[in-house]
Amino acid sequence: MVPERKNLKNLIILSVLIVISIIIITVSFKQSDVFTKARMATLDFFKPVQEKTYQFFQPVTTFFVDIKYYFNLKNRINELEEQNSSLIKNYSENVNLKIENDALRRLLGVSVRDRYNTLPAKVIGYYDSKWQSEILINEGRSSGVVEGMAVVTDEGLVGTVILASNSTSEVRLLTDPQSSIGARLLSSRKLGVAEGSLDKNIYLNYITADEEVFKGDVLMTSEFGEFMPPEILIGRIKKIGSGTDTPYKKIEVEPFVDFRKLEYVLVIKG
Amino acid sequence: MKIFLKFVHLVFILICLIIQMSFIEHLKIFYINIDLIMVAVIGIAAFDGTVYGLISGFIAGLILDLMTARIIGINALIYSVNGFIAGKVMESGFKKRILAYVLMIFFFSEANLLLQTGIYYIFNYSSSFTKLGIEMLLYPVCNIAVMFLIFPLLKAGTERSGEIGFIFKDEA
Repeated sequence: MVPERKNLKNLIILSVLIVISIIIITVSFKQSDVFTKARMATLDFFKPVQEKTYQFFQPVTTFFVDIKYYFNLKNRINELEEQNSSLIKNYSENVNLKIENDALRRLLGVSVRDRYNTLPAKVIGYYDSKWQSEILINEGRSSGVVEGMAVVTDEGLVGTVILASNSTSEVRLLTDPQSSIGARLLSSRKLGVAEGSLDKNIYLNYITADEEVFKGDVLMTSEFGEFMPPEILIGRIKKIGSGTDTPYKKIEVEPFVDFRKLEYVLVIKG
Repeated sequence: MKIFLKFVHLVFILICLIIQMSFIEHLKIFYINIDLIMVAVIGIAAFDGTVYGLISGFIAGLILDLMTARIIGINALIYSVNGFIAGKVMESGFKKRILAYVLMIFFFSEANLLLQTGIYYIFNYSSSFTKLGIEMLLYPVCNIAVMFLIFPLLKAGTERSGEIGFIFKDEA
């Protein structure tokens, strides 16, 4: 009799927890404020220990990530050497053009491009599953971070803040399937949307099949985002294919930022 | 003492959760996909009993959901069911315990993957079948390997004091 009663008790607990879970799933899918607040509180609560643990494992993580890159090192060196020589060639020309551009802008009364107001933040968590790619940073609302702000490194765009608690923020990476950012091709100035995907690649969408795009072209943010500043580097065109059942090209973009190696980032506040 | 150990196990599961987010996620570049929390929940259910497995699975799952998931509640549901079934399986009495543990981890790894994919599919997140196939091959193997690290830690102190090694004698 006693084991039977115990079994019944276990089944009741299981049923209650299943019902609670289903209610939570349903309510959370409707983006309830209660859960947003609960998420913020959880992130704040775990921040100190999460930060320390992430820091503790950082050398090991770096070691593992480096192993992967080691096997591709020779190709990478060749690629970088080529890029370097091309950059050196362009450097002096670009400096002259910038000076000339700023002078002309002043003459025309157009304001010189502003530098952004940024906030440095440390990466304290990383989450990568089939359906999402996110990082956690150690700055939140108390430092002026709000949802929608762009997160960058010196290499380019990392992603956007999707949830800011008091002391931490969740950042959706460019590779996340739900990531979608207005983008512009540097050479042709064509507009498209840089979107993440389930295969963790970034694609430039809505470029029609008749438009000319070439491999290696640079992609940057467009000027139409609410929080997203224009002209932030996103990546380089890696592969161009034609969509089978769409009028658009299938363009794969190689991001400038290596999301696995992120340690510090900058949040663009304005 | 028993209550203290159960509390320690709950703290252990939270440590697993933090390690999962701080370190394990980075191993995915080598297709190593480990679910530390699932292994720990099954271990707790096996050593502490069904109710503790069930509740610790729910708590750990809910915290993981709140910290990371897009749809809150999925992991809470999955881990609590894992804890319940694992506890029931162990209660039914297995002669070859180590085999039971390995089979349980294998079964739950596959079931969780399919269940999660199914739930996300319902909520309009599609998935690549090739990737799912690769995951279904590697995911249980990685989890079974981790089981040999986690189970001795959870077992230490639950039955025989001072025993730290992974000893699975036939107790029947």
